[in-house]
Amino acid sequence: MTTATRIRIGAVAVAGLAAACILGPLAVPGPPADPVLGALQPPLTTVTALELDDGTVVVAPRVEATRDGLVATGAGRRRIVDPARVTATTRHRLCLGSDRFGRDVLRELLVGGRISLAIAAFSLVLAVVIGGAVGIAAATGGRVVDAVLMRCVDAFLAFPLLFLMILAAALLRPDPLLLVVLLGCTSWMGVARLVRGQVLSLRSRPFVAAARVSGSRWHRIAIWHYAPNLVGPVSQDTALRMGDLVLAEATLSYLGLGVPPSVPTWGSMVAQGHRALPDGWWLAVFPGAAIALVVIGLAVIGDSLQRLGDPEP
Amino acid sequence: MARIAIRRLATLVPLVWLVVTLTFLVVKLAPGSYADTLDHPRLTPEAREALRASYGLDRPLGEQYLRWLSAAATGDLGGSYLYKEPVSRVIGRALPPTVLLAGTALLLDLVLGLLLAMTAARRPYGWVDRLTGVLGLGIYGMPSFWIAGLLVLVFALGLGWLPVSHMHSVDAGQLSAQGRLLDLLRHLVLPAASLGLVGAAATARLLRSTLLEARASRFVLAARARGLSRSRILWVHSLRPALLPAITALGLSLPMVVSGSVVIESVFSWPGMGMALWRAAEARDVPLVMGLTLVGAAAVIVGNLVADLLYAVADPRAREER
Repeated sequence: MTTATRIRIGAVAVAGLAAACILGPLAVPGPPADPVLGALQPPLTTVTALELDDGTVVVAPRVEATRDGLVATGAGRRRIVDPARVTATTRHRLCLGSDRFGRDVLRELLVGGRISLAIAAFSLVLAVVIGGAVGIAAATGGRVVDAVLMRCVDAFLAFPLLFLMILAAALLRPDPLLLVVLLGCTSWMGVARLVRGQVLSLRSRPFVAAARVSGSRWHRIAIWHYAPNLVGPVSQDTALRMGDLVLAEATLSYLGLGVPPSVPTWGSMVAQGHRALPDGWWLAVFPGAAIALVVIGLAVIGDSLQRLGDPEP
Repeated sequence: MARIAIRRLATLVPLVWLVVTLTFLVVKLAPGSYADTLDHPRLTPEAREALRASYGLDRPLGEQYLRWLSAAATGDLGGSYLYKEPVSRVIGRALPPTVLLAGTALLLDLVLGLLLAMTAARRPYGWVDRLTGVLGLGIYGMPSFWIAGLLVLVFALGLGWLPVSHMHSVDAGQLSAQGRLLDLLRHLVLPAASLGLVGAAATARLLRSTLLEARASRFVLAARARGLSRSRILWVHSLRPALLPAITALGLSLPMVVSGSVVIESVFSWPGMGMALWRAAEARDVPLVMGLTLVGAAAVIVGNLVADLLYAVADPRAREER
């Protein structure tokens, strides 16, 4: 397999899933949720949704017409519906089953993925900004600044950050913005090291010296001379980092930090699935597989990009 | 050798201080204190205030911080609000399960990772190599808690071979010493495996690439020219230089191991440091949170130091440079 093919495979996996998450919830209406009869249906079940005249919906895998009326059975319960009250009947296929509240897992997965990926992407941006600033400052700010900043990087790398996050999870109220800040502020160290190394080697290049003798100020050099040359190496690095962030976000929302329980994310869906484990294996398996698919796709892209940049076998 | 150790230690003490201070700020800036978490119908606001005062929680933040820091510097971690006993004793109870879990996982990580990398490096780009590459990539992408769930689903709920969670069975007290050990080991398998597999995938990936690098070097060519056997070249001549980056990576992955075992502890209700931290944070038990963080940070930092020293032992060049 050539490197280009690998990149294409990884990109298709990641971009496909991301696009599905962004557009999917709009395109797939999904059956309405019925926590009574439609709960915990296994994958590939076809359910019938009966809309009643009072606006409520009965969703059940089996609906039979009998002398008493329509008998809907599901989730170990049955309910008799008067046919005269039914205003509309639709059938839906639950590709990935339904959860304990009767919600379509596929739809939840797409909505949750949108949130998970958005959190990971925003914290990646934050990490790159912080890491880039620290890296440039360390490389150009003189020996003392360099030593202090690099010690800070070591400190952050040496600390079991998840410990701190569990602490934050237990102490603070779940909030997606807080999660972005926490993730961003704890994953910039790799970027800082990379940028510092790159800038140190760029600093001795003639075009930087030329800019300096022609009177450019430091911020001008940083923005117009360092930053454009950093785009390549940093973007190679970000593909792998994004994967790590998706994993970290999943771990935190698995532990209950991050978003409020009513909002689905992949991590919290796995946690919910684990709580329902003996009855519904599909609840935990599919969101976890989605996480794995994204992370693996990103790893393939990152690896191949690195191989392109560094063509030794 | 001793010089390296002392120099590293000197830079590590401020590090521990930084971590502890950060933790103190997070705990203190979070809303609520221990006195607020108590819920009792006969607890009047005055009594609550008195309780706050008795724990010193009404003092200025700086004073509380300095008091804790000066006591901790003499080795006194204070008393836990929640358990009404010294923090050191609570930690003494929570540490062994975590060490057992993380240690077993690390061992599994290293042994499995090494074996996989060795078989893969025997014939690069052969089918074993490709298979382990794909498997390693797959496991790398899977969240450890999800792997844990799958293992529970298959081996505990499906096949019924192993227990679902916890460290001991309910009736473990009635078993003989041997039976208790066996019981503990049975409970250990799934958590250690879910943690160790993820690590082994990363270790195998790293070691394979460093082994291949070593294979291409001149000393391996020289060893081949001397007519040494394939396995001797691989296990003796290639392994030692290949292990160097792995040692550094091991030191850097220690925070991951500690953090990972915290997650796995919550999946399996394993009574270790992670569970203790979770409960302490929920009860706003400041001394216990601080004590646990201090021990966690110190463990990781000492681990890094050990990795550095091992590096110096394995690579004579590192001894002279620093």
